[in-house]
Amino acid sequence: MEKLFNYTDIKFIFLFSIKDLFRSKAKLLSISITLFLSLFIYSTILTINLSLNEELSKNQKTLLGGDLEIDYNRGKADYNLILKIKKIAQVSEIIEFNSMINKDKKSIFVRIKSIDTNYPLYGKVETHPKNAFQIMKKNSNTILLNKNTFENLKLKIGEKVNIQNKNLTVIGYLKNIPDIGGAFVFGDYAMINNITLDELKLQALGNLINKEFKLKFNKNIETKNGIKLVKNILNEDKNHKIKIPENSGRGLKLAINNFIQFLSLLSISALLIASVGLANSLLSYLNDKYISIAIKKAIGMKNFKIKLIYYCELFFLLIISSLFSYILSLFIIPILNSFLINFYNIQLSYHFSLFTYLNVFFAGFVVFVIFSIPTLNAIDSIKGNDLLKNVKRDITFIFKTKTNSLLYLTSLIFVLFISLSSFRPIYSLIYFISFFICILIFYLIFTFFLRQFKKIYIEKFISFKFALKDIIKFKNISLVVLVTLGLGTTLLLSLGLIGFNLKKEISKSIPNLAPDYFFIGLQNAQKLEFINFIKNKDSLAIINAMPMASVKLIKINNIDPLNYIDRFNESFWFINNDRRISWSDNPPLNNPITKGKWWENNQNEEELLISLDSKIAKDLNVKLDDEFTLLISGREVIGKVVNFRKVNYRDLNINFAMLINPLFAKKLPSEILATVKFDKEVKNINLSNEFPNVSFIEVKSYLQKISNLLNKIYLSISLVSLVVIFIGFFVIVSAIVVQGKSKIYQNLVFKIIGLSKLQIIKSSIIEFLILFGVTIFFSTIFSIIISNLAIQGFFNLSWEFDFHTFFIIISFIIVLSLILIFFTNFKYLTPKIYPLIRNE
Amino acid sequence: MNKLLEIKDLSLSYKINNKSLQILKNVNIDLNYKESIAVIGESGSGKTSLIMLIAGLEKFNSGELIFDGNNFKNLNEDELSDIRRKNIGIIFQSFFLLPNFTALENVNLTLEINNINNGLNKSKEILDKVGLKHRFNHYPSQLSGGEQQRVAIARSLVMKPKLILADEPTGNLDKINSALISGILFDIVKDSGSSLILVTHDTKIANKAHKKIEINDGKII
Repeated sequence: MEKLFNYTDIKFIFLFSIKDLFRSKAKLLSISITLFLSLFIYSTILTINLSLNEELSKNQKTLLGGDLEIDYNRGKADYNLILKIKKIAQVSEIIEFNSMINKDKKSIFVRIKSIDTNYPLYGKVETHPKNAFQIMKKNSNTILLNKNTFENLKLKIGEKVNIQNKNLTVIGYLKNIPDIGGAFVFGDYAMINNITLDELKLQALGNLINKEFKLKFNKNIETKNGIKLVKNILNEDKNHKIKIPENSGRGLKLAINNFIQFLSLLSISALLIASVGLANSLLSYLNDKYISIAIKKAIGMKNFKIKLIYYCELFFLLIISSLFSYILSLFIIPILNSFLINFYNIQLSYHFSLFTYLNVFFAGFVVFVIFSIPTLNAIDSIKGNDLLKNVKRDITFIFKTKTNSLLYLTSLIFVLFISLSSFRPIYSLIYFISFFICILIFYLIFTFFLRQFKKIYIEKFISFKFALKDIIKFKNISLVVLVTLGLGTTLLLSLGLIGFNLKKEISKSIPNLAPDYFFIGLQNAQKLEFINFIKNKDSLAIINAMPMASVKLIKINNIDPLNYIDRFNESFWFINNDRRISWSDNPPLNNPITKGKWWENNQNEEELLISLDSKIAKDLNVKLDDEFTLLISGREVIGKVVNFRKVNYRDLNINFAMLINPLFAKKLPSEILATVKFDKEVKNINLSNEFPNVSFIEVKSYLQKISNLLNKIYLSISLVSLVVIFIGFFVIVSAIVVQGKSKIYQNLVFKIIGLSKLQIIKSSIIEFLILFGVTIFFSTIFSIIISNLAIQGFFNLSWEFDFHTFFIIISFIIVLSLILIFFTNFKYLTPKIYPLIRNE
Repeated sequence: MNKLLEIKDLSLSYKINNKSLQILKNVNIDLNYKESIAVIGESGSGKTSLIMLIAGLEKFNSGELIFDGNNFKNLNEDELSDIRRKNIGIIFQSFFLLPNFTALENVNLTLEINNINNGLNKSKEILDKVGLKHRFNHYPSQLSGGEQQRVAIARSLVMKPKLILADEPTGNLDKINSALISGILFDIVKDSGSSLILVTHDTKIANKAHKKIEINDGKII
């Protein structure tokens, strides 16, 4: 051991490994490419994640639109308190609401932001023409639309649009607004000034009005102190909610974190699977070097030093690959920017981050440990005297207790590191545990089948007999082939099924029972008139109208849920803002009761009974008989949760997360929410004359928006998947090539003793089919679980199995593998191998 | 018909870098049933190539090679494999045993590919004949060079082929082992009634054969 630290020895090992690396560069090419590609995907995902998060953190105040936001939702603001706040901060009052924008016969549903002269406190509004924003601010009855609405309504600057029965002049279109943290990310939007808003005289619940004040503290006040001061001022005011910059863009962050975690796990799987492929390639490389290693041993070089040479070579490759992949991943950001600037007007910055590089290097190091340790251990089995005995054995992986411990320890640290640093650590841990269980199960399957194969005795069918013999005799290689095939197939099938389910969601047709339109903002008095209006257009139209009121959940069992419900909770939206509720005598047909009982007709009109969406109940840990304190028309009312319903928002019918008993609701101020399903095709609905306050959403265009978003996700996943699929195939190919190479010598002997080419190839094909047949069933089960978790867990979409995708992928793997087997064997059965006979 | 093998004007050449390299030129050999021929010659004279052609492992350019009535010129690779499997046993200097198979499995392999079932007794018998009764379950790496060659001899003879081709079978062995192996080879060939073509440098071994031919520069002299 002391010789290892001898300078001459270290110098020798270092120089020898560099020389050998250059000598063997062609043979090491496949290892380098796989290592580079797998690290490149991982680096890219880490770099994008870092850049996005840095961008969001850097622009927190811009995204929120201030140092602080006071959100009054639909509630009334106390302007005396606002006046007090104005002494310590510049205040911008913003009101957002929904409305239809009508031009001729065309209507578009938009979210409109009404601003004052102080807006924006941070960032800037970009418009076309450049001065349009200033003109709109100064002039009432003017409007700016987002580019999409501007183009869809085929507008020209100076033309008029109709909103809530009022004509507004279009000054231009918005290219970018700074505070996109809210609902403005994906939908259509517009901007007016607050004088114009006053003239619109909005009242309807359906307008989903939201009032907020953005604050920019005076220069002498630190943000922290400013927040404290504002909280003190608003201490007695119960209607407000304070938002700080850290919470801005919650939805955006949630989406990014979920998506990045999914891609990270995908890329780490690719890394781990690539490590198996790398182990195969390295083993094949060492088999090629068998004589060279035996000679080194024969001339007295120690096992340890020989291994160290190869470890050095691989370590150099790792450093080069990780550096190269990380640096190259930085150049992805400018490419990504060209997309982001078009869609969201975001420009990400990028820089070399030592921590990220070390993360990439560490991931590479784990792969390096996994694939190199058991493989390089194989060097131990090569003996110097093999040269004298004329014995050329195929070396195989050797697992030793000591090195295994290092392998397990590195993997464990890696898994914990990745999981704990991820957005959802438990998900990641479960994923990794499942991944290793997959490997363990494939190993156990192999051991089980190996035992069964040993019991089989075949008299005829030479090829089948030899196929079984090969599996048993080359059990270590067969095990690697089976595990590799299993993991590769699982990966390909999982991605295939994820892709199918995303595509399915994208191309999803509107459910049969779904209405064509949603109408909001209808007043109770307008109900009959509205029904007549619709029936005039189509007498067979199905109209469904439900009452709707606005409430706010302020306490669950007397405790404010905002105090203990995490903002990343999937049902956070339910407690975050005002909720629309409805009431009904009977349970809705599309919402089956999962727990509890529906209310009887003989309820007490003072008693508030609540029916809740079962998913929300689960997320917020609400039990039957729990008490909700609701703020209804400025009054706090305590109600009891009496049942849970399974609400399927996907059926696109009227679905309320919360329903109450009709007897209690009798006294509530309400509006009507209506859906209409036409029997015949009705085009260009325009309500601007008859119902100027009513907005409507066309289900088809709503689905189109979701499809567009999913298309973008699908594109990103497809890009990552392409590289992962390449790695998956590489792993399968490497396994087959290793299997083929390990049999060159055996095939030569078979040939000498008179087995025909066809019989030899047939035996290899049967061997593959046996191994593959064993894996298909389990790969399918694993891929079903993985794709199901990804689709339902990460994307919250519905999942289904697609036999067509399954059949195509399995057939593709079989055909590709058979072609590879055929060519690999054929290559080694040509006369080119005869020089072996001459010991050449 | 006494002739097992007739070789007439057999020539073999390779093209290397567009230049023709003559390996064998107009070789003529006749081998009768149960006859043995020793082929001697310098290294690189074409001895192994001749064995490869007779084994059907390589194709000749011109001439005729008729084995047991089969003209090799007219046969494809699979047909040649078929003949080799049933009628020709080959022994190489480098043994060519399968490393993952035991001595017994290596010998039995020949019977298995010929669909001869329950051949284990036959394999054991022949291994016993070559003096390896105590080595049935040993892998090649656990056997000495002489023992490995005896397994190779047993493998080539277990099917009682009509022809044994031995390419310097003692080339890797010491004097004592050489004598032992050649003794076993000639004895078993005699017992089984096979013919033998033996390539060797050792004149003592060559002298044990019925006929002796010498190849020099691809020609029989």
